[in-house]
Amino acid sequence: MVNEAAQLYTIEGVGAAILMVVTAYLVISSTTIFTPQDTHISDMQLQQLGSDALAMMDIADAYNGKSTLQLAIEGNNSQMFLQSFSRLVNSTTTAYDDGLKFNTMVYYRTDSSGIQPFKLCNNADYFRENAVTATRWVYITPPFDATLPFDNRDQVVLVEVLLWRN
Amino acid sequence: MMAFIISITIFFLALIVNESAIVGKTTSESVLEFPKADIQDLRNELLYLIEKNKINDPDILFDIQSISMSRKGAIVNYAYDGNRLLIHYNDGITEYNEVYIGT
Amino acid sequence: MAVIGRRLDDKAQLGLDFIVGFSIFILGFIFVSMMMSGLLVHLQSKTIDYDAVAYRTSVILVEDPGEPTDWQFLNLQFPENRDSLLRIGLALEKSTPGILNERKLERFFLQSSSPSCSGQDIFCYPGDYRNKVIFGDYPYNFNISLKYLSGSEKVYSVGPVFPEKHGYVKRAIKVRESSILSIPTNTSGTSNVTTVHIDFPLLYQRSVEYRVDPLNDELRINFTNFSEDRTLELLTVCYPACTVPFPDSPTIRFYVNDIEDYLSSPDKVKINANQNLSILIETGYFNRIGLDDFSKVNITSYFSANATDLPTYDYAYSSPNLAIIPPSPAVMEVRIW
Repeated sequence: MVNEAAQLYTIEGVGAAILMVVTAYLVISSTTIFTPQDTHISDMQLQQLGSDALAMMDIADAYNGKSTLQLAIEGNNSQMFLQSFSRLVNSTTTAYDDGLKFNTMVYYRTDSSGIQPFKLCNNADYFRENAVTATRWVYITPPFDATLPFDNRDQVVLVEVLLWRN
Repeated sequence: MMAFIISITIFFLALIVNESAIVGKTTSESVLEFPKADIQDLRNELLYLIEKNKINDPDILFDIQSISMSRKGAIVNYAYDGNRLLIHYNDGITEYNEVYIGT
Repeated sequence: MAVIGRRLDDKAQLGLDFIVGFSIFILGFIFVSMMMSGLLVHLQSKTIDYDAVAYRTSVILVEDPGEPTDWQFLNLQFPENRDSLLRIGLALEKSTPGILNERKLERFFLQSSSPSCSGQDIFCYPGDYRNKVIFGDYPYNFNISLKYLSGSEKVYSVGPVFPEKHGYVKRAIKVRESSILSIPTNTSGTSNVTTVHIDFPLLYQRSVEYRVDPLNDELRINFTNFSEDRTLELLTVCYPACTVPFPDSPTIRFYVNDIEDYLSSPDKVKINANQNLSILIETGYFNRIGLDDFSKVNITSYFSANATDLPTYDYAYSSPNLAIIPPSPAVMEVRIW
């Protein structure tokens, strides 16, 4: 197969190289390599932080006292909730504003109309950002603020905070 | 011929890589899916209700059950007989049962 | 004319054709393998794990009390104590995730990287942290920092400066604070012997987040605003056997207007007019003298002349002089790379 024309090995080599390069190209272009971890990491971090912040707000300052969350809901005090939650969620060890925004809804049950939502406070308007929710059960007792639509009885409501990074 | 063998090898490698990226469960998805905060929160709230002596209030039981089902899609049931607290939680992926003695 | 395969000769030369073909093949192979190696990088378990390890470390620190749960009293100078400490967690108890113990927190950040650290009562950086908090086969670098959000806004930190890409998690927590019994002084009062009575079983009846915990926290007794000069001559701790404070920690310390004074000094603890006396019972002192949650203690201060109205004060929830500081919010960040 070898003669003085000096073509075969070269052609073989070229053919081999082309075959490998084309295969590699096809393979790489078809395999979508997304780093499997990245997709939900930020969601997990945000949700853990939101849960933590709500849990900390639900701890009363004194024994047998009411927690910030209870007081904010019973008095329909959106400022109290906003400041407290924002401080817990936006502080870092080096700065005070991490750029997190949130919306808060309270879900309560009434005898007449079932489960209803009630808007407690808004830090910013939500459009289409990637957001997570954190929830907390809160036990509230009357007397409630007059603007609240809750039934006049001891009850347990669910606070749902929608949290996203700007 | 070497090139042929190598091409076949690359092809198989790509197959493995492709499948591994899809088949495995990512850690963060597992973390998001396990309702750690929900269960801890529920336990905390029920123990608090025992302290406030409201654990046997049927209105509150209905509150928790209906809100839990409508907002979280989870079934919650609990009972307290003076000594032991039984908790049942099932959100379709994780089921949690507890008997708490010693309040 | 049939051409036979390779001509065997003894010249030991490769034909030019062969070399050119072979080198094109090799170049192509090198190029392809460089492209393919990029495919596998993302599957390296250590680089994609940083966030997961940071999350796990934060859960161990914030939601777990550690193993053994009262590890803050271990003296790490002894190697068997250091080995018995399997996991460092900062939570008060298993039932209170997210509420930290102040003493555990302070001890966690005490470390040294010198080789003699294993002979001292502090953690060794980075070995102890890697083995007892972060776990895993790969030696991760870490930076853990904590900042109080109210009051002193103190910042604790362990670990070097972090690079731009790192695994990160932030947790919001509360730290249980200590309590203070403030006794108003009356230099024209009737007693120069003042006893503070501490009934442990009564104190332990409250839930752990709001508890005054003499075995796990420090206690403070403040005598406020002496209108004349007095000297504290002696302090005894009776349970009911009596003892005096030790010279070394953990013990009872005396502060006059925040400056430390000692009973062993020639003029004892001297308090001038308009000054305050603060008696600090350090964390672990009651454990040191062998008390448990069923003990009752009397701490008696002997002054040079009349100091207070009543001879006995209770360190109890019912006492109007007791101030319990609410748990302080804080934020903790864990970074791994």
